[in-house]
Amino acid sequence: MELFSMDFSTLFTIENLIAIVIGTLYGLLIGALPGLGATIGIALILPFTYAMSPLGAILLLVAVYQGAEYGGSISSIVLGVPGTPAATATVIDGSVMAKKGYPGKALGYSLTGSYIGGLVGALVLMTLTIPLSTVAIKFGDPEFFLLGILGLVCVAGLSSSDIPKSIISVLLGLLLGMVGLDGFTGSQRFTFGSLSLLDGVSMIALLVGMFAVSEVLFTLGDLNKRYVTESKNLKTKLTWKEIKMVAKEMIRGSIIGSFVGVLPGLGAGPASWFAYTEAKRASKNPETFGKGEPNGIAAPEAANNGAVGGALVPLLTLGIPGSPATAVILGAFLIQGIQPGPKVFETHPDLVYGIFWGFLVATIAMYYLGKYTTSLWARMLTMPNYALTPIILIIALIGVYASNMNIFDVWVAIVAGVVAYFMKKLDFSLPAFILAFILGPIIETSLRRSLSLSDGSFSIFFTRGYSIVILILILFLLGAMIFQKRNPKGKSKDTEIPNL
Amino acid sequence: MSYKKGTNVMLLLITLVSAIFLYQSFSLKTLTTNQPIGPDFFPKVISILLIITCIISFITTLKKTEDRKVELEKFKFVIYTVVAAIVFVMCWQFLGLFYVCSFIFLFALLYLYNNNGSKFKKILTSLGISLVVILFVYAVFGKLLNVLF
Repeated sequence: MELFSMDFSTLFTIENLIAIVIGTLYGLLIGALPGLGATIGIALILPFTYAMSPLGAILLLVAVYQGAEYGGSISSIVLGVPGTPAATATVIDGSVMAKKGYPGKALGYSLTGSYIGGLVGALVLMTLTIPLSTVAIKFGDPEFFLLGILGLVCVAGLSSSDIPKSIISVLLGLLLGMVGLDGFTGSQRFTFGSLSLLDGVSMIALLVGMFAVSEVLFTLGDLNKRYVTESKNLKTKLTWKEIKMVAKEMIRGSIIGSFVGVLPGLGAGPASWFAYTEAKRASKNPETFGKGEPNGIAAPEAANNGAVGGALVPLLTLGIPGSPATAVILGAFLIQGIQPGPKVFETHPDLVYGIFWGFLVATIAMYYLGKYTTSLWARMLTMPNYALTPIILIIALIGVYASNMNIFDVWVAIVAGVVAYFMKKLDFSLPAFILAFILGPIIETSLRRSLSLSDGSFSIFFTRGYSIVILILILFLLGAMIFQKRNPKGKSKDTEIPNL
Repeated sequence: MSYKKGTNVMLLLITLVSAIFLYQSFSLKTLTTNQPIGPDFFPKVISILLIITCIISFITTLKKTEDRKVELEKFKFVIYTVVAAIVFVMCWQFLGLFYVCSFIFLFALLYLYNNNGSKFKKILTSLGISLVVILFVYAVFGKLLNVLF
């Protein structure tokens, strides 16, 4: 087991430990601030990783991701406003329990849930990644082509309620992904004579534009809103009896979250809704949900932290990010000159195993730092939007510039931000767009290489063992979507997932 | 803004973009002979699919009987912010005075967004926050990360 034989001295360096602590604290803060979630948090801190070692850089971002998913529940509970999209389900019972005078207890359920979720996510990451990568290493171009298509089908079908608009978002992402120099023939595609576009549209610029700049434009709607916070009774201590009461749902939520996180296009937001609905369905007293039920806090919070570990699985094994947040982490890998995927286990084993164990350390750090600093973040929530918004905007733009020292990218970020603002208002899917943008080149390259191998015959996609399995998965998924579309009756109101 | 109208305008714009891409992909030369598909194949397929889906979405939007209003809260602030950002990046690109430009940009937005307190107090807090942030940018990006602006 190489997992246990790694050199732990490469993990426990001062740089890595500081990265985890700072990442966690920053993640808790950004998660707690209403409206700002893990994706923006990771995108804003990304430029700071340029000067770091690969392991330190990735651990910093992973710690932010983990911290932000718990941090989101702080404002859900104390303010009744979700801190991140993934903490929306927590508002239902969390804010009621806080209004009853027990915000600390609610935060305690959330923190413990997040901790268990994070641990289960780490376990899933460690146990699923290695066997998956040994399969993935055998994949050739036809399999990668089909995997790309599978990813697109997932995001198009799952990320928005308006299917045609999701498909349009996917196709638009694919189209934009083709801008630049064609790797096979050297011909310039859609560069419109611009030198800056030869390398294609910058992924970092697009991500920051679509998720940070557009979010800034969104917050302008309530610039001078002042939140009233309940800053008494913020101690997050729980008794054993209380933990035992929610243990079952916490574990169930963690498992749901971890596996939902693996699927592209879903991630923490839907995971927490699934866990909440499942906890309510399985409960003997479903009528207590919505009235401050502890399970209604612990289950979704376990799920959204579980999803963090799950989301890293496709990124590490296949090099395919499943969510916008992991797309930014992919950006960090690429800036370090490392292409994640099955080969990374051979080329950088210390990095991969370091991420596994570091992820576990980051989860533990989140629990202890969260425990002692929650009341601090709860007080910070009164930070006014009018001051925060311009600061986020300028740091985002400067970060984009720093990624490539190219001012053209800053223009891309601004345009992407404005376009994303309208796309979001009109229910187009931003995650679908960005994932298609990243998957597009993978899909096109593997399609063209496959067809070169087979002399132009498409039979290469259904005559290979693994290809057939992936093809069946795609067909199964499409079938399930069409079936669900035809039978919408089975859906009750509270299983509906809001658009992300 | 009406949801239906907004959607239709967006669909029209996307159709236009895909038409440009489609038109451009016809001029992509397929010089190589050993490749079954050239650099024009994928863009052609995607842009045609995109135009078709836009038409489908247009029809489904038309079919929907109910329309709703899309709230564009404080839209004038959105316009101010985008214009300010454009002016800021232009000054940065063409005048080069990055720190001065970003200080003015930040100060302008902070002053504009704040509606608490007297004018004097607003100027003072905006100046203070801008100064701290720009110093932070100088220390972290300029010195620590060696970014040349």
